[in-house]
Amino acid sequence: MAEEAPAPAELAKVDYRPPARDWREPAVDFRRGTYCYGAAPKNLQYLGLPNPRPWQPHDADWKLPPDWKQTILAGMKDRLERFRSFRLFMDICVRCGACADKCHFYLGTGDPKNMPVLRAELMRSVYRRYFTLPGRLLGRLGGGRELTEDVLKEWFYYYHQCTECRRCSVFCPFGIDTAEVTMMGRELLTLVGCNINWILEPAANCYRTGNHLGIQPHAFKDSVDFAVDELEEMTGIRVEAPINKKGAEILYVIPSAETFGTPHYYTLLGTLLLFHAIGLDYTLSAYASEGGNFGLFTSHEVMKRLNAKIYAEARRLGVKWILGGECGHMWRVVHQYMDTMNGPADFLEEPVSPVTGTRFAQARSTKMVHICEFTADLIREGKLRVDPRRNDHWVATFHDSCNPARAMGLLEEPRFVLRSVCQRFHEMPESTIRERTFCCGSGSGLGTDENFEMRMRGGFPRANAVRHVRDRFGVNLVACICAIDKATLPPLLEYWVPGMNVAGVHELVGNALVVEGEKARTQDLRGQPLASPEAPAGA
Amino acid sequence: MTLPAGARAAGGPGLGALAARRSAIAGRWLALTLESYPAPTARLLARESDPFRNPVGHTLRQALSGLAEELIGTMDPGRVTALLDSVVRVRAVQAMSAGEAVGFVFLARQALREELGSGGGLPAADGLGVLEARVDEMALSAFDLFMRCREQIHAIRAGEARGRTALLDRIREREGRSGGGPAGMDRGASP
Ligand code: SF4
Ligand code: SF4
Repeated sequence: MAEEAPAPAELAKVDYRPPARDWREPAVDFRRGTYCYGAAPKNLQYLGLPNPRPWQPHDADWKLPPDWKQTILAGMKDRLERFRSFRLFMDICVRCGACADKCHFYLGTGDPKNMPVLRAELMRSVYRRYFTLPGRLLGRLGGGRELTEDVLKEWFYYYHQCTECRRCSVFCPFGIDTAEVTMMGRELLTLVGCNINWILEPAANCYRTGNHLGIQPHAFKDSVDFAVDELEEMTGIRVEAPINKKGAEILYVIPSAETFGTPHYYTLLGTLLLFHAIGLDYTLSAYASEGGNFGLFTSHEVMKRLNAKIYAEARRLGVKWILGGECGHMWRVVHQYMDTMNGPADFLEEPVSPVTGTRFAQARSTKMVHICEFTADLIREGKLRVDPRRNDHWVATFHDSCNPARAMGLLEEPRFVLRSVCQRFHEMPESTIRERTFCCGSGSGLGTDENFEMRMRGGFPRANAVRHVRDRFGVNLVACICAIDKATLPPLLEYWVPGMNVAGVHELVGNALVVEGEKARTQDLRGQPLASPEAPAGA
Repeated sequence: MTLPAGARAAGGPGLGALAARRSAIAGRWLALTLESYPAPTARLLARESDPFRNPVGHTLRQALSGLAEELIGTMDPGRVTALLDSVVRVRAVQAMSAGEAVGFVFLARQALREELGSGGGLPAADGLGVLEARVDEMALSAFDLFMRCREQIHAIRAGEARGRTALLDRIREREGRSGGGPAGMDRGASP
């Protein structure tokens, strides 16, 4: 349709609205539907974070501590010294613009401050003003910006309009990772008590009971038992799902949503069946009952504390190594930060698959293997019997969740597994998958309902590509390996691509898995009829 | 809404000129619509033709081109609704008032006047009047669609909160508990 694009001369004539404002003007309009609520004081107290008080972003008075400015500047100085990457990212951007149109929030909102280059500039300008010579001497002329309350509010607004997805970093010739700038922004805001509840409540719950919802051990067991019962009704097989079993070979850590939410739960069913089929000696833990780490969205300190729980539990239970489920940011933390935060996990063994003997050398230091790596190996070594026809009611595509894809490089394994268990699979366009995948728009703790409109904007590029494969190939299922995706893609797609389903990869594995002693399957793990139900054995 | 037979039938007086100008009308309409976005964004939306690199711009361009065709063509209700919906759905979640979100439709009037008013082969004045009436008709549908999108947003938001802990409700049901979820869980905000 290029011929319909207006000629440049014509565009130049246009008197754009709103009038081009200087981006350095910070004032933000907190419009409902586009920001997350402030964290409740109890959650800050629980985590021992500063300045707990009731407040909301739309309040004029944020009840900042009197010395907030010094606190932020001192925090910045400290982090510039501690994290070389932060200083580099403040210094080396040449404003080439390669990242500008790569952010899903920019594409969906059209707000220039959502261009990664400008998002980082919101902080860089303050950095220049206080930490570089020209900025100190020349102020605005030196590219610097005074740190005011409006600037702080602007940080809050735009650093919670970045899902820390790292897509922009893939396109930056210098590898500048704006997600890291956002992380610093949120960390600094935390120093003066400006957090969002959707992040701090799960973090506090996780710290207290081991998982985001604050589910206590007996309720966790209730859920797992329920899954075991349901699985038996569906397949005729009673699996064992041990919790807190000392001396098990492997600790299996899931995102807790698999025990209370759908469609996550069907992934749990699939993995329980898988472990039964291969006779795995494993245990769940009611203490490390959460892979997700909302500390990643709060501060390095909180991230470290939450990550440490998994390793403390592995030590207590005396397992050899850890298997991790279909979780997103758990993997970002394990892959990028665990080793220098809580690692190396010397007390564990280098993971070896007890079924195939494959040594997972990539996990030599963290001792933690991704379930897709584990299953892909099982399939490749011919250890699983699968009947992909049982997924014939699905035409699937795969959404690369940002963290496993970009922060960990897990691109082929889930695809290999999917193609093995599902006959009809179609990729979305290349520019929207693998390293260049578009975020769901709700990651990094932004998936709350008060932020719904912003999520719909940010998720539009993803949904747009899903719509393309629906129209072109009849795709009716988006498979993914992240708990946040499983929670937030359904509403996103309901708005943009009605009728689309979302599932975990291991739900489809569970459907296809042929297990000794099972009854003829007529339904999938959701209780939906199969495209061609199987005749009962001997019929 | 009916057009004079001449304007509706292919090859009728004025229509040849209109059809030839369709793309110019659509282009003008797009440029006017992009005014509601800040300058750098408007440039991106106008320039980048890849539907995946520029989903909003692509949606606008496809839709306005299709709608321009319907304006001077048959005003097929199914097609008009689908095209309007694709644009309104985007603008219903963007930082705009209801008026701004559907206001892009009225810009078609200006596009028509500018494009048809200046060039030769202009249809008779009442031809333009008919086209403008069609624009009004589109605007009304756009407003209905906008309201529907907003209602859908509220419904999805409400459903989302319920769905997050769907399993806990099922467990509770099985265990015959009367409410409050399994003992020991805090049902506050959480992913
Ligand atoms: S990390 Fe993701 S959300 Fe943040 S600026 Fe980059 S592309 Fe945008
Ligand atoms: S691509 Fe890198 S160097 Fe270029 S503007 Fe973006 S962050 Fe700066």
